[in-house]
Amino acid sequence: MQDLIHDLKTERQNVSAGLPSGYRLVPIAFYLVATASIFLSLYFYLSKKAYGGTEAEMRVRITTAKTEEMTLISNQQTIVDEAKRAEVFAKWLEGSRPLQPVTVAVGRSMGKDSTVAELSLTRNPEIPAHTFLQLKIDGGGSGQIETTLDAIYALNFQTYSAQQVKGQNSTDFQATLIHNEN
Amino acid sequence: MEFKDIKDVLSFAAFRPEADNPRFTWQQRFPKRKSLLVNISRGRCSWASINRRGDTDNAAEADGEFVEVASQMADTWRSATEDGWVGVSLNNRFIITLEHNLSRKKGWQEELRLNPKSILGTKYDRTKRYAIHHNPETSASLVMACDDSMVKAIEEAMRSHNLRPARICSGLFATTAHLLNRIASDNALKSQDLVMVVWLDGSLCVVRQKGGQWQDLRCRSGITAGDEATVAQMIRPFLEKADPSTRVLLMEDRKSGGFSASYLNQFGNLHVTDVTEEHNLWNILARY
Repeated sequence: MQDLIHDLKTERQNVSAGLPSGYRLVPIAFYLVATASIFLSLYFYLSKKAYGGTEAEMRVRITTAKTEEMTLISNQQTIVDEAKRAEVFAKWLEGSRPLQPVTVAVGRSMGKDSTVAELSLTRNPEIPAHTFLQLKIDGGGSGQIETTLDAIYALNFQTYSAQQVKGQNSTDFQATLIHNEN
Repeated sequence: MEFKDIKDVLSFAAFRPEADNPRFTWQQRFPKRKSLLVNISRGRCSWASINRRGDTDNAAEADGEFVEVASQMADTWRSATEDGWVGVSLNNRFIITLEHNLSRKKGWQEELRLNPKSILGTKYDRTKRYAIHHNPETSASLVMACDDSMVKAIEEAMRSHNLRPARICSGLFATTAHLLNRIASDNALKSQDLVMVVWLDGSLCVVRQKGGQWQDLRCRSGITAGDEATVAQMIRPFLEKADPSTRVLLMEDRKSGGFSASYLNQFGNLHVTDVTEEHNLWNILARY
């Protein structure tokens, strides 16, 4: 049934009946894209904000971790320094062999015609393994020196820079004693 | 492409027909838009604004010729419409007749606008503008002829007040056609012996239908209030041919309008059914 009311007016040229309905997709797509853009912008804004917060937290954590690392390194350095000092001390202790057996060996090595006129054992404070020996023997001659040195060698000492000065009735001997570890 | 075109596409306005496109109903032309309807009678104008829901608001009327009333009410009318579009109902200087065997070839509506002579033949008068309502089941047609000069005068008057006619029609013819359509779509009514009386502010159209055939039609406009003689003269032929089973259907421009108050007693013992709704004219004009 035709219910459209008649129209008597002077008709205008090119009166539009409206765009085809299919083209409604254009504004619909526009609004969808605009809405999606707004939501994505919001999402990225919130993500950036959350990232900023996380970044600040991470910076604090990094600073804390670096401080802790510095503390640990400092403590480690202290321990290393102490270990080095202990090592040096241990080496010094290790190098500082007891000198009493040397004095005993020197004394026992004396023959019946020989006496120890002077005996000096001076440990090198920098290198405790090096002990400077000064010995003056009255009588006995070079043979006595050899006997005494054999007794010292028997204690695993070696001599370096040995000097022997023969006097009228005495013999001066000086050398650096180094303990042989093997 | 102008900014307005883009705005119209984004607001979906571009997908609606233009407000003055006669090939679409008023609802299709003004969806969710305010509009104004004006009925122009002889010496009187009435109007109603239609809100965005399509309901009638603020119906009013004023005595005086259209040009005088328009000059006083133009500002109010413009504020009641969007873009100044107005729907006009002409209620004087027209005549409705019953014709037969008019051309109903495809596109007759366009042809009636562009070349009415090809539809009306010898009945065509170049000083008139025409509208036709066909009976869907017979060769009968209602033809409304209106003065061309009257339409042009109204268009000119509206243009001078920055108002634009979205549609100019005959309210009485539109109401009559609407009532005939209702009857045609109602199987119970269609076959009855009916006298249809349509009244619009001093204009009267009476149609006799029997067995689905439109048999007689009388129409007159500009009936002054209380002119019982004229009304009686128009109705008499229908009453003479009526039998007790004849039913009268009355439709007025508004509930308890002038006809039912003054002339209803002229139908005597015939069964009269008033099918008028509140704001009947405005509802029909705002819907179709």
